[in-house]
Amino acid sequence: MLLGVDLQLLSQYVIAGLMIGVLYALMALGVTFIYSVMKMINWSMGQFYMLGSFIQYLLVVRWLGPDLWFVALPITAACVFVIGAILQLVLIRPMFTGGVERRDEYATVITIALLLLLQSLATVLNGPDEHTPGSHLPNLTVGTLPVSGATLAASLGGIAALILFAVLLRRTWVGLALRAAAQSRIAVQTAGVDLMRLDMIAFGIGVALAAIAGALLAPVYLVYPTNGAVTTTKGFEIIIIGGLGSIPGALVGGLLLGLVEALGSVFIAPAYQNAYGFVLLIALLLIRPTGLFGERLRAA
Amino acid sequence: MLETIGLTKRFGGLFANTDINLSIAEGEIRGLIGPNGAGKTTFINLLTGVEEPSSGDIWLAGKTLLGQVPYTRARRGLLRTFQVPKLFRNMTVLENLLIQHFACGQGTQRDARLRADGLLEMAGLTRLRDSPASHLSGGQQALLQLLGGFMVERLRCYLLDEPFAGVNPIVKDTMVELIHQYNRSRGITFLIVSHEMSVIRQLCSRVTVLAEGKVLIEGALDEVTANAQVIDAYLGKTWS
Repeated sequence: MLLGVDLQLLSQYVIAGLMIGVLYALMALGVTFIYSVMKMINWSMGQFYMLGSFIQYLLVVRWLGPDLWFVALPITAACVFVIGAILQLVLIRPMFTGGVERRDEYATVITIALLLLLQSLATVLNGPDEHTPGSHLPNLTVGTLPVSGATLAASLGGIAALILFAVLLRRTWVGLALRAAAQSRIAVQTAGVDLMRLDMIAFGIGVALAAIAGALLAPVYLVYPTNGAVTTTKGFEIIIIGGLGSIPGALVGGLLLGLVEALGSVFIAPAYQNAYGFVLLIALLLIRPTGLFGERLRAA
Repeated sequence: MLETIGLTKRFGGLFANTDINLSIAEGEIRGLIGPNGAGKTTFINLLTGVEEPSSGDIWLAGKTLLGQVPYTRARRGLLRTFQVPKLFRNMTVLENLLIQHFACGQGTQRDARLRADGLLEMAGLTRLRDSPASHLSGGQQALLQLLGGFMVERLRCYLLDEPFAGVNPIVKDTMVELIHQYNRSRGITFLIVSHEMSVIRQLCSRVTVLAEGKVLIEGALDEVTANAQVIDAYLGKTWS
């Protein structure tokens, strides 16, 4: 017993919190990755999460069945990558090629417009109905602790996606170029990199990460047109906790948020689960305004 | 190799570059000198497409560069360094060289590694190969930046913006030697912006003097430094 709480219950919550934390991290990583390469915030991230959950749902329900969810996952990611790349080409690229003066304001307006567009489109096409692709994964027991099979699969899938992302960044030439662009957008261009094409790839990868989170969580949370809202909020909470533009910050922040929500649920009340993150955020901002891994911006 | 015709850049009412006509022959090492604020960096920015000229034209090897974005200019063999080294600081020294190779889109990974190792050897940076670029001293950063361009097979014209500023004499000698070597063995054309007259004297048979955005004079270094107008530009009119 710890503070009157059963240790077994506590560890169960902690494990569940960390498992969800992996998915939060995935969401935050998408935001921070697009920011670090393109120096713009994509406010419509949650709608790509939603798109991912819908595509996964359709693939599983119409064609593949719940047992082949892991086949549907890469297809979903690829679809959303392509959708993201096309939207970047049509809506976002013009702000880098034309002489747009206030680029971050343009980015804010255009991605919020995209948020509303995608969400309304989904509502029109789908109606307000909630769906679930279902899952045949059995619930497991680790020691004496019960663990939901769908949640475990989601977090393992999330870890796989994170590893794949790391390999892409560390081991490929596109990854090398992406890391370079994150450090100097001018120098990569004068070195000979086609930055506009690289931006398209970065945006596609970033939104695909959100879509993977959406697809993995489809059987755990539900699939409906506004399901991206909560995860978007959490994604941005994590960005502030971890530090904008920091990849380790997104990972640590994601796990930390999952953990804090779990502890809050055990020690205080599960009803306020979505509020604990904000307490963490405010407490952290008081101590470290740049976030855990953030750096102070230098002008010019 | 590189020619500008009436190149002009206006920022609002300020003329940073006015009607610059410059012609550099293939295999030449040209010096570009002038007092601070003369428009030297703006000129390099115009050449590499970092900024668009207000009017005028730029030719590289018989083709205009106007309307070309920076990366296509680089792939046509026009590369540059920056006055404040723009290295990819979180990446290793080796990665900083590899990116330059792949950016211009040619050769295999193995070629790139061999070439990078060779360059690091020549420059005496081998033991720092796997350190982050941010660990290098100012001089070493300038040196690494210079090596970047030499990674590119199709390099034809290399623009160096203050490559020797704040660099210690030993590293400076290495840089001068590398420039000489690439100029002789591969016929690479250089345009070097610098305040270091002794290095300019070692490297450049001709220099161009910019002042207040205009070409003041062009000729051998000793010729132009003896010119009364150049002395005025550097020291102010009251001195002459």
